[in-house]
Amino acid sequence: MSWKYKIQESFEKNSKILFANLKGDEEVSLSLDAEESDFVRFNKGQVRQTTSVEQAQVNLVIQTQNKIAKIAFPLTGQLDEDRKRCLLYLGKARQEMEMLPENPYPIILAESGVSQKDEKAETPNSHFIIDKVAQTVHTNDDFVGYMASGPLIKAIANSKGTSHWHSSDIYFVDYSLYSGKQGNAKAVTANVAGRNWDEESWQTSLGQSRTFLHQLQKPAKKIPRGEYKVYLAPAAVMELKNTASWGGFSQAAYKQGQCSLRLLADGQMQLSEKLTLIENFELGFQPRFNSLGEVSEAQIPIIENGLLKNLMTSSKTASEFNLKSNGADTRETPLTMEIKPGSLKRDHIFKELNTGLYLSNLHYVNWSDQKSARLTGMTRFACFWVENGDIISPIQDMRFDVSLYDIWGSGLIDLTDFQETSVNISTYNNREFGGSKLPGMLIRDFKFTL
Amino acid sequence: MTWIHSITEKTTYRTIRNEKLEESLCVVDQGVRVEVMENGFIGYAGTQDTSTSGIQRAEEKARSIALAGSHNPVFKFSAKVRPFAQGVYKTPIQKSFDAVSLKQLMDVLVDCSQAMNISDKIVQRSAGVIIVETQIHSKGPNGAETVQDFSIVALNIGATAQEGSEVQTRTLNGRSAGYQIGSELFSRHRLLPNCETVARQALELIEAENCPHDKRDLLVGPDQMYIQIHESIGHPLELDRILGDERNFAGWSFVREEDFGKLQYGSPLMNITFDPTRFGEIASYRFDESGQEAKKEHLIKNGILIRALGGLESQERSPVSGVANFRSSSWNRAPIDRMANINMETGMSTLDDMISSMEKGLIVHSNKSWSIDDYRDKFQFGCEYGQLVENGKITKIVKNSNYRGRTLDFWRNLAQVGDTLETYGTLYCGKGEPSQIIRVGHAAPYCLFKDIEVFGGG
Ligand SMILES: [Zn+2]
Repeated sequence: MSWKYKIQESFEKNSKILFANLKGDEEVSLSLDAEESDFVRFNKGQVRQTTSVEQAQVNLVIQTQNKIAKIAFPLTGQLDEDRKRCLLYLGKARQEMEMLPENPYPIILAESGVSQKDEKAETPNSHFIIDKVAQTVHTNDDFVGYMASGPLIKAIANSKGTSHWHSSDIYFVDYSLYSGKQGNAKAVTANVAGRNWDEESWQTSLGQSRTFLHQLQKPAKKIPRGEYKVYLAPAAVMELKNTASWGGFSQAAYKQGQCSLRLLADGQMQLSEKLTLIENFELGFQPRFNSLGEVSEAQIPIIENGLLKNLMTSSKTASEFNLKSNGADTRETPLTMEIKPGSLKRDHIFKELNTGLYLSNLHYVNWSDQKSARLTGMTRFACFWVENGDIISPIQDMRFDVSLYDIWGSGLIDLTDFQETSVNISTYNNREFGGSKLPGMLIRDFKFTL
Repeated sequence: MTWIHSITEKTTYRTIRNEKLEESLCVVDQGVRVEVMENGFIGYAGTQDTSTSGIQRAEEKARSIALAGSHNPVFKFSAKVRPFAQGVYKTPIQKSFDAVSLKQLMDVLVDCSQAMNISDKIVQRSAGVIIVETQIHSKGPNGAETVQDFSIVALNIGATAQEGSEVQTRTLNGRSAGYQIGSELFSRHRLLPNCETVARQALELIEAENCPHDKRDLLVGPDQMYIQIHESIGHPLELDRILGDERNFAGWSFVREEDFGKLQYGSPLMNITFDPTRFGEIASYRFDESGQEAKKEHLIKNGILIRALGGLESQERSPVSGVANFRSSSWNRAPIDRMANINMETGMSTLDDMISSMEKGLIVHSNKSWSIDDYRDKFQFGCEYGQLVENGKITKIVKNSNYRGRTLDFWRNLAQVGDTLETYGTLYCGKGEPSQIIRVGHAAPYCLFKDIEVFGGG
């Protein structure tokens, strides 16, 4: 039996044993995050490190009428060993529950039925990608980046009979091509993702990256600080979206005075009516159940035509503030966001930009002022100065400091009529589900400060 | 050749908000990383099945991917990148974590929250601790064996004040209060005065003016210096970044191999050390994960760049000299070049002298916003609490204090260095593909910089 199915069997059998050991009014919810991963990182088209990982973490939540405790521990896939662990940590969680103060925000464990999804594929392994890069990447590509590949699992079972399993065999290769020496280098970045290896999209991606890199082969122009019209490609929009999602759409953050879009939520500010943001599970990146087994609506509108419709609300926040949960997990961040397209056609981007900056990617975006929803960050990779609709030259990287109320408000000229989908490529501690579907944006008066 | 690292870690998160239970989570992690070298290339396999057969399977996997990688490696390493090591390390603590019961700890946190409850305008009071207990047990050929035990605590204490539409949050040290320490940290007489100060300063901030926008002298407090050092010295000196490994993710560096021994990084007052031996600092250790014994080294001496943050693998790839900093976030990631404790050595100036010397200045405390480019040049930082200085005296408190600049210009404008070191650290430095989060410490005195662009919010 493969590791994935061993973990599945262990989780299913041992969760039942654990539930059978509950006493009195105890209730338990168990969620599982697991992955079997091959990671290969490359530098200059050669292999820097190869790592293979099997990891499974169970998150146990136990509650009684007025107490709660949470404990997370690893599963091995060995039935007996895992049974011992489940019972050991149930005992430890009970002890903690005794010692902890009352749970002020009790939640009701989900009764959302049973579901099972197993998206099987032949994902590329370490050997495959090492050979593939050796065969298809040219020496002068200066290829750098990595592949993450293999089964990714999210599951939940609770003592009320709720049980959901979602496993997906997926991979991505996230890479950049560089040319030129350190200090005067040019670079482009891209990624390919899927289930079975897709040779065509790999070749297409490499080809486009080479062409794009070729266009950068001119001295970089130093642009003085100031306000410019910009085109943000979907990958650049993603950087803004990621940081905006960090507290910006969280109900708890809003209620606790930490929400950077507070004035929007209060109705004191509004964004462009061209802007519509949806937490959209129909994109297929993210299981609809969360770590407590609550199942979200297929679509949750967050911003509709520039007005805030919903904040991400977890059941804990809902309990505290007497609201209705919309199935958000404890972090209350959107996991599968779609931004609706506009009317700007791909062929018209340069013409409509006319004179300004074409920005493929942004880097290290962070809030710089919470109240005014200001974000600072850097341009990165393929960014160009454009005059009268023609690319003039690449630029030296610049720092921006802009308010979302401006760039997603009166400054938003149009969004592209096409969107790009991307899977979540975050691998801190573990690989993650999730993704996004985003258009490009044409924006006036984008402020650069350094 | 095979090396085995068994890593056990228990992390507990306990938070009280507005005197009530906000969060209690205990994460137990245990796994083994097997490393196998074949033809000068190392393959890594991580598993949580720590039975003999589980480790055997991991070893086979590591060997197989080591062989695959060895066909087209970035570099063919010698056995010297894994020196023989034997010894132990243990965080020096006064009191173990078991000496304080969970109930006692939660009571202390409730009292911390209560201590911040000094006004109706303090709308949120949060008192949390993260406790990390880690053991790294490494075994290599010929009886090589090291055991290192770490006890770490990070404090998350903060108060949010609100009046009308004005909201300001003040935290203890901008959430950089992280140390290698035991439960002696959880004493009321140590924590409660800090909580009161945090709440009082949050109230001051909602009444305060916005930070001005101009150029002036900037006196940077140690709990902001930590991230200035981290972002504009630590990361650009990582040798694997200079060698290009991180160019797809964290970025490259403006520092080139040929700059070592020559580059005037900052003013002659600038002395930066790699110091994994400092008592209480969060990233102290005796061995890095290659087995290299860690010792204090100058990275920048009298303003001149002399040494990189590169472990033995990077040192074989490069002529630049390095340190013992080859570290992983856990059993499921391969080690890479990381910061450990990167410190600014003390100078001769007292805090009073520095303030008196400023005609028009700003003092900044506690980081709240940070950003820098992928070459580590153009940065911008935001701080929680600012104080204006006019003619040598502190005159006003200002909110939304930000400053920006470029790395070399900034460090070359270092004009005075304080005589007292303060130690901070964070659990969250991100880097690597696949990505890793690691603990880093930064000790620094107050430092005075000339002609820095500062600005406010809005
Ligand atoms: Zn960092």
